[in-house]
Amino acid sequence: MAEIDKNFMSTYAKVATHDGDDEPIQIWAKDTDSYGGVGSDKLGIWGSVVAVDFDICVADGACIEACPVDVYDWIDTPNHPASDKKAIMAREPDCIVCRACEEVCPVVAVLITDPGDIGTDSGTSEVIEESEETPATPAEAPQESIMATDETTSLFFHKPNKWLGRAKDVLAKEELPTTGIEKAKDMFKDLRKQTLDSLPRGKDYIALVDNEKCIGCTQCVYFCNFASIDMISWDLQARTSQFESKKALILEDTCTGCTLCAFACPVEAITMESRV
Amino acid sequence: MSRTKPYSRTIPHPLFERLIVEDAMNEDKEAWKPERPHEYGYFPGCVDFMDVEVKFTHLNKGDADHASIAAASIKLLNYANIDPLILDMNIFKCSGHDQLWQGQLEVFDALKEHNMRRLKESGIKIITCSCAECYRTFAVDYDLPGTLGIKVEHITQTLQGRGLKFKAPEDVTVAYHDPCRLGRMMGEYEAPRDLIQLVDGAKMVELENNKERALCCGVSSMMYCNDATKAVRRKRLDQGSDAGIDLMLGGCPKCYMHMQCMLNEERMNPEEGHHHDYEMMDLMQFLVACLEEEN
Amino acid sequence: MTEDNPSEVVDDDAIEMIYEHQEEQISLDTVNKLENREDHSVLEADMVKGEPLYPHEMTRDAVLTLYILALFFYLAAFVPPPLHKAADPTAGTAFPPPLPDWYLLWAFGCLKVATDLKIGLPLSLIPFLGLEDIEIFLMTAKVWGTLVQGLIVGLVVAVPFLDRALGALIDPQYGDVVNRGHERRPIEDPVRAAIGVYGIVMVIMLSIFSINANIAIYYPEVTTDVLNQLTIWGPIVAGVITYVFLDRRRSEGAKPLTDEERFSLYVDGIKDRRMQRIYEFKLNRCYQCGLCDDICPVRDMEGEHELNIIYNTFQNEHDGVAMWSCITCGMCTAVCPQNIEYIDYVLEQRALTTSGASL
Repeated sequence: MAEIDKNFMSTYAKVATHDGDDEPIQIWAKDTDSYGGVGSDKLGIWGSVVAVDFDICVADGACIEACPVDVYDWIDTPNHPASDKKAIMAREPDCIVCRACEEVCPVVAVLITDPGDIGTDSGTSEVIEESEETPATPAEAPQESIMATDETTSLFFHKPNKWLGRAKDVLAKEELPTTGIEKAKDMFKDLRKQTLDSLPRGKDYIALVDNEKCIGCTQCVYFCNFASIDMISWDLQARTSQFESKKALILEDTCTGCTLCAFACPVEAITMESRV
Repeated sequence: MSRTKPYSRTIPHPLFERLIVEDAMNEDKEAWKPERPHEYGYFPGCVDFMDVEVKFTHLNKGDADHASIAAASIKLLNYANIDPLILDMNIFKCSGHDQLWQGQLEVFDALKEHNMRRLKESGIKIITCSCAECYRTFAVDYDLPGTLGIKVEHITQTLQGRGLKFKAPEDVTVAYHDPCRLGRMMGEYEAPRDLIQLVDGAKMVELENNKERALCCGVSSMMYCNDATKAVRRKRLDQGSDAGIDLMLGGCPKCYMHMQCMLNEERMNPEEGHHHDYEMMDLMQFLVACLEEEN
Repeated sequence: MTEDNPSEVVDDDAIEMIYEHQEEQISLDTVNKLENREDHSVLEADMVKGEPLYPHEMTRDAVLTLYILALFFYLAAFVPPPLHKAADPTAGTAFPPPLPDWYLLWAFGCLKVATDLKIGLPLSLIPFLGLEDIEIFLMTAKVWGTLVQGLIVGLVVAVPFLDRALGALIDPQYGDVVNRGHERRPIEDPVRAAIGVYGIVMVIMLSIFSINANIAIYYPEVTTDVLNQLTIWGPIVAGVITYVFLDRRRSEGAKPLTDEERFSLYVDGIKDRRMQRIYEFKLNRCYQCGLCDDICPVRDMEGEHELNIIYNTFQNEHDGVAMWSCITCGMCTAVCPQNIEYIDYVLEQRALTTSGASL
C-alpha cells in the first residue's frame, strides 16, 4: 500500500462530509467514483487538518493512543479490505498540530496540515476557487455546521448575537481603515510553522526542565494533558510554601513528547530531548 | 474511566504571546511620518492578533469579532467629528501590557522603545485607546504625559460630552462590566456609564459588584485559563443573569474575549448545566449598533 | 479510552508516586528546619526583633517609675501648695472664685464668653404713642453657653461622618472613596490643618478667659475686654497663619514626600529592618485587617483557611496568593485602608523572577 498523498488537497476533490463531534469532517477522493461511502471498499481521505487515508488505515490504534487531545474515535467500516474499523478524527478542531499521530502511524496513513496553510496558501488557482466554495478552515466552518449538526450544538447556534450582527451591518456601510489584520495573519502563519518545526516531537522525545531557568509558574502543569508534570520543591532550605522554590518535574513514563509544555513555558526552560 | 476534557487547553496562549514577542524582537528602525498632522491618535491595540488567535483555536464557535472593536471605535470617533491618526499594528507594536505583567521586561522594553519613537514621530497631542490595558500602560508604565507630553485617554473619555446621540433599535437592558485596568487602576467609572446613558432605549442596570468592587474577568495578561479563573468568570456571568440583562458591555477587548469565550464554551457543553442567556459585547460595538441612520 | 489501556495505570501510579515524593519533601523540609534552626531562621530572627522582658524591659520601666516617684516626693516635701482661703460658693464672683478642674476650663470659658442674645424693639421711635422700648430675650447666656459646648462635642462625634463629605468639598482628591483612609500630613492639606489649629487655640484661649478673675488679681492691666478680644481673634489669627504658612511651604516646592523619599527616610531611620525595596516598605504599612483576603477573587475560589494576603507576602511567605495565580485585578488595593499597592509588588516580583531585573 502506498502512503497518504502529501498534496491531496490540490489533487483530490471534496466529495462528501461526515458528522464529527463539533464540525463536519471533509471527505476527499480522486473523483466521485472512487468514493463509495461507509460500508464500501472505497473510502478516500478523511479530514483536512487531520487527514487519514482510510484506504490505507489498518486500525492498529496507535494514533488514538498517541493523541494528547483525544481527537480520534473509532468508526466501523464493514467490508473494507484493510480493516473493518478506522480512526475517525471526530474532534478535528481540537488538534494542536503536535504530529504525534503522524509519527506513530505504522502505514503512514496520517497527514497533519497546519490550519494556517489551508484555504489561503493553496498552490493553484483552481484549488483556491474550490476552497472558496466550501471553506475548510475552522474559522469559517460554523455556518456549515448549523445545518450539518443540530442536536449537539443546537443550543449554541440557536441564537447568534444579533447586536453584533447589527454593529457589523453598520460598519459594513463604510470603508474603514484596517488596523493590521493582514500583518497579524502573515506573522501568525510564519511563526506557527517556525515554532512547530523548531521542536522535535513524538514518542522518541521527552520534555526536560532546566531547573535553573524554571520559575515555578505552573503554566506547564496546566497545559499537560497527561498529568505528567508536577511541582517539586528541590530546595530543602526553602519554605515549602514559597512558590518560586518549586520546579516542574516531568515524568518519563507518561510524557508523550507532544511539546505542549515547551510551548507553554514563558521562560523557555523546557526543551525536547531524545529519550536515548 | 475516561479522561475529562482538561480546561487548560482552551487557550493555547503562547501562540498569541509569542506572536507579540516575535513582533517586538523584529527591530524596525525605519523613519515614519504621517501624511498630515493630527491632533488625535487612535491606538487599536492587538485586537487583530486576538482575532487570529481566536480563529485558530476552537473558540471561534461563536461570532466573536475583535477587529470590529477597532473599526467601531474609528467610526465613532468620526461620528464625534474627530479625525484620528490610526496608530495601527503595521507601524506600531503591541503596548506590551501582557509582557510587563508576565515579567518579561526585555520584551516590554523593546516594545516601549519602538512605540515611544513612533509616537514622537507621529506628532499627535492626544492618544486614545479602546483597550483599558493599553490605556493604563500608556498612562502609567510609559508615562506618556510626563515624557512626551501626550495626553492619554480611554475612548469613552474622548467620546464623553460631545453631544453624541444613539438610539437602540429595540429596548434592551444592559450592564456595564468595569475592567480592572480602567476602573480600579485608572479610576474611570463614569465615562462609560455616561455613554450608555446617551443611548435611547437602553436601560442600564448595575451588577451586584460594580465600580471599585467589580469582579475581574479572571484572565490576567493571558496568564491562566484554569478552573479557578473560570470560577471567577462564572461568578461574574451569574451576576449578569441575576440582574436580568440582555447584554453585558465591557470597556476592554480582553474582557470581551474571555467572557464571550466562556459563554460559548458553556453553550457547547450544555451537559455541564451552566447557561447564561445573554451576550457579552464591547461598549464600542454596542454604540455602533445603536448609531442612528444617517438619512 | 478503553479500560485495558496501560497508560492509565501508569498515570495513576505516577501521580501517587509524585505525591508521596512531595510529602516526603515537605516532612524532610520541616525536619531540616527544626534541626538547623540557627542557620535557617535568619529571616525570622530579623523579623521578630525585640528585647526580653527581664532584665531589659523591667530595668527601663523601673528607672522611669522611680524617677517620677522621686519627683512627687520632692514636690510634696519642698514646694508648699499655693492655698488661698476656703472657697465660698455663695460669694458669687468674689475672691477666690470657684473654678472647675483645669481640663474643663474651656467649657467654663464657653459659659463665660457667652452673652445674652436679645433683640430690642425700638418702639420709642414711633412718634406720638409714647411707648417704651421692648427687649426680647432670644437666648440667655446659660443656655447659649451650654449649647456651644454641645456643639463642639457634637462636632467631635460627627467628624468621622462628616470627614468624607467635607473632604470632597475641600479637596476632591481626598474625598475620593478610593483614597479613603490614606494618611495625610498637614502640608498635604492646609485647610484641615488650619481648622485644627483654630480649634486647639480656641480651647486654650477659652481656658485662659475662664480664669479672668484670677488673672486680674496678678495683672490688672489684662482686663476682661482684652481677654474677650483675644479669645475671639486669637484662634482666627492662628488658623490663618497656619494656612498661609503651609500653603506657602507647599507652593515653594515642599511637596508631600513621594513613597521613594519616605522610603529612604525610613531606611535611614531604621537600618536593621532589612527594608530592601520600595514595595516592602509599602507592604509594611499593613496592619492585618484582612479585608484583602475577604475580597480577593482568587482566594475566594482557591483558598481554604483565612490568611492575610499582604501581611503574609511581606513576611516572605508567598502563601496568600501565589505570585503566578494572582490575576492582578487590584481589588485588594481598592479595599485596603492603607492603599497598599499589592499589584505593584506582584509586578515587580514577576519581573525580578522572570527576567532577573527590577523595574
